[in-house]
Amino acid sequence: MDYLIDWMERASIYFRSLTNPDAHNPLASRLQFGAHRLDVIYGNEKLKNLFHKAFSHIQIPITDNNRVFTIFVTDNTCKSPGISMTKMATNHDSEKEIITFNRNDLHFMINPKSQIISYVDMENEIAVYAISETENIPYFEIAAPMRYILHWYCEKYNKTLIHAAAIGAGSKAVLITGPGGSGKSSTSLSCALKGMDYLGDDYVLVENENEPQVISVYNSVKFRWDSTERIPQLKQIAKTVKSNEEKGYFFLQDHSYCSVKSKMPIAALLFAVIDNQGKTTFAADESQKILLNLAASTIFQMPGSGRATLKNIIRILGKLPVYRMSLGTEPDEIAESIRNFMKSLP
Amino acid sequence: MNKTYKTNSPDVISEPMEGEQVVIDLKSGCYYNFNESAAYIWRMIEGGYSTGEIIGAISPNGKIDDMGVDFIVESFIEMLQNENLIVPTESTRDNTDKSDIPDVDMKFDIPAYQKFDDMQEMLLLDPIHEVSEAGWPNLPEN
Repeated sequence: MDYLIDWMERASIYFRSLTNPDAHNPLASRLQFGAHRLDVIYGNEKLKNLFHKAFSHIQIPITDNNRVFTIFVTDNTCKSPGISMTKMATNHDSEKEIITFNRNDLHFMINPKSQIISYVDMENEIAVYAISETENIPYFEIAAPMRYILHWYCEKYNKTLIHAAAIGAGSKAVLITGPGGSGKSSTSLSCALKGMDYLGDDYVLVENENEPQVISVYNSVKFRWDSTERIPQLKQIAKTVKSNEEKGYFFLQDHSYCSVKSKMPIAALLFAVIDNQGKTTFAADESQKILLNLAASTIFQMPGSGRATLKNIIRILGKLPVYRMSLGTEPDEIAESIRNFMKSLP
Repeated sequence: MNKTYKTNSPDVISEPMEGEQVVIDLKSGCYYNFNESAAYIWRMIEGGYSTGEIIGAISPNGKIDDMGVDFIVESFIEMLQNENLIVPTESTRDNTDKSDIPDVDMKFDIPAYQKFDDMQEMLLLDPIHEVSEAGWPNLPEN
């Protein structure tokens, strides 16, 4: 553990010493999450090309030199004296469990699958997202990067990163939750391609100001390759997607006919299930069971999160109406049913 | 009877929800929904009360044999221990002081819970995310 603490100390000292944001730095971007802003500074163009697209819909101009919470994205080609990414990452082979360290304002994680280090120093308002191997990054890290860092950043501001999709229509949104493979991504993709507002297919932020709000984090959308047979528009898009992995992904911000929203009030929580009844149906359900499923799936996927996350999810979403959504088999019908159902929500 | 337990933190986290209690075991990947009576016992354990004090608080007129409350409570606590949600501990409170024992402000029923293990498979497949299941619109195998 000593080498880990030593690494964190070196990283904090080095990255804290870097200069304030520069509006002319092409490798810097400022992102807006609701009322809060953070900067992401990429160590090189390749890193920016890899990870920035997921956030491009919430980028705002850097108009001042005020230091805000900053994420430094780095790899072994970047100058970072005394902070070896490779050594840290290769100390843990891919068969081992996720390594996490949480103490006061310091949070550290190595994901053995992607060999990515995430480090958060909340006191100094810096984070490091360190890539050891840029050639073999799993698709979900590009589609939804920096989740661990964003979790801790947002928790400080009473926002919670949850494992759910979010779709909007009119002036309100619904959260879609459900077990893996239950159709969250396919449903949100179908809705987005039918002109509904899109806020995320897997991870979104929730907060409670006057009413529960959902805040978009990523404009990426993932799809299974066989979905292209059922969703005609996706077939064209998929031709441009380069990926050999089990799922493809693309960024809705690249498709001007899609509406990506940054923030909307939440009207209901939908729990997606597959029962192949043909038509999509909605039925009021027990909120405890579904909220518990959402909380558990969020917490299990966010190493180090715990009671505070559980409490926030219950506090923010506990009063929402909850519906069991039995998905039909036709993507267009599902999207239309959700749109019609949302009209009936108060 | 006078054994004292504590919740198995940090592996186990919990939070009240609409009178019930949600409990998540981060180590096993299982999560639980306790009914009101089970939630009351859980909160008594969190408060450091012994098994005897919990039984005494629940029993009408303090008679622990009434309704077989002692057997019910002990069985439930045994289940919590078997599920690794609680572990034995030394009592840290003054057991002679009964004034702070919370009232049972509900009709005490059999403590019951639902256990969910549907996340376990997902956790084993990939600790971060993504399952390799067939996914929508295929029906789950079970």
